[in-house]
Amino acid sequence: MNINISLQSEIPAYEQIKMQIKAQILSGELAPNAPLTSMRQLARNLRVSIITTTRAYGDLEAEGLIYTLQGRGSFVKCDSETIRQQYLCSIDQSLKTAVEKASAAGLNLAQLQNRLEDIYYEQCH
Amino acid sequence: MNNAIEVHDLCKLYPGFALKSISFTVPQGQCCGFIGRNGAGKSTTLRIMAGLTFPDSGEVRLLGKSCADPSSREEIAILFDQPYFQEDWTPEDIEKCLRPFYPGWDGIRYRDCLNRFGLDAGKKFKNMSRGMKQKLAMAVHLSHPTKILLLDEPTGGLDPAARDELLDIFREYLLPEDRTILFSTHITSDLERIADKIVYIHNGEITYQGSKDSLTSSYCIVRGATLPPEKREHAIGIRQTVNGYECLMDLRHIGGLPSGTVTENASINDIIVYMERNDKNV
Repeated sequence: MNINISLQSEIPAYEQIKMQIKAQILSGELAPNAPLTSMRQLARNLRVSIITTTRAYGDLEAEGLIYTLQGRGSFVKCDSETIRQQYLCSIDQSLKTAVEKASAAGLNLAQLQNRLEDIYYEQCH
Repeated sequence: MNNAIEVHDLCKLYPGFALKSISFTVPQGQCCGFIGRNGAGKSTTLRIMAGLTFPDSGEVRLLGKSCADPSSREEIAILFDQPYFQEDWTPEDIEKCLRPFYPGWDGIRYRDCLNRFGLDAGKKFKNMSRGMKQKLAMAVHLSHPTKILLLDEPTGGLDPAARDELLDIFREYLLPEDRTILFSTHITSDLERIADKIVYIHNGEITYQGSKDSLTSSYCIVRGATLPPEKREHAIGIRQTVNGYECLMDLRHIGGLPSGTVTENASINDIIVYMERNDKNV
């Protein structure tokens, strides 16, 4: 479980930890039932307060992505497909918002697609 | 969550100084930073906890037991400024002497800590540097089962590398879930990356207690040309020059500042500096 956080980032440390664990479940690096580094150990390794890692794990647990056994540690609950589905849902949400705003601004589908392509190539290449 | 440390209405009167009925709690498993200026009452509070001073009134409960009860002390580890060991003793002698007093003493762990901390088991205490002495004290604390670590200015006088090493050892102490640290320091940068909670003591009174994140995220530093008069009452520790002003402000009040005003995040250090300056201005 490889995690690197930036303390200068605008994104809070707990959010960075969450995002990276999610990404590793999605990529299959962390398989279902794989053990996660304990919260207190991770806090020590990343040099953040214990509350920070507790919050990240708490959020992941609330989202149903990991589970914690008292005294045993935390483990991956879901497989990459669950997270992929979550990502798809959130993509659909964002696209809906984009379509709403496009129609308000008077853009047609082709124009919206062009913009999407621009952004896609900008981000991915 | 259980509180490992509970301080209730603690009062202590000295000529020229008083602890004025302070109360705070530290949940078990957390690291709590105890901050304030020299002479604010940090050491007095910690000395009462360690049973070295008696309060005039009020009570401290450590792991549910009154700190006046000697049986509470077995689970308390203390590092105040510097450890007290016989000057001519070596880490080996220290082990021989302490082992009988600590039923759960773990000699293998002690050796392991000495090795990892780079301490020579045959070197006399008086020949050690300040950083080595602090690490030796922590090697002792990690080698028998305790639940609370009380620290009073443990990093004072250490160079940045030695401070970093010592902070990492405090993190190692915190690995078991039931361990709690109360960490008094005026080097607040030590706390930025370890403290969960902050208790701020000022002139013998508690000014703030709560999570570190909510402290640092409730204030920001404001800089600008001239402060609008209606905002004057919200400016904390204002510093005015011919080129402009600089102050600390509660985030709730920063709306409506003129354009060109700069705001930035405040560190624990900034918050103390501005609040203490404010106190002097008033």
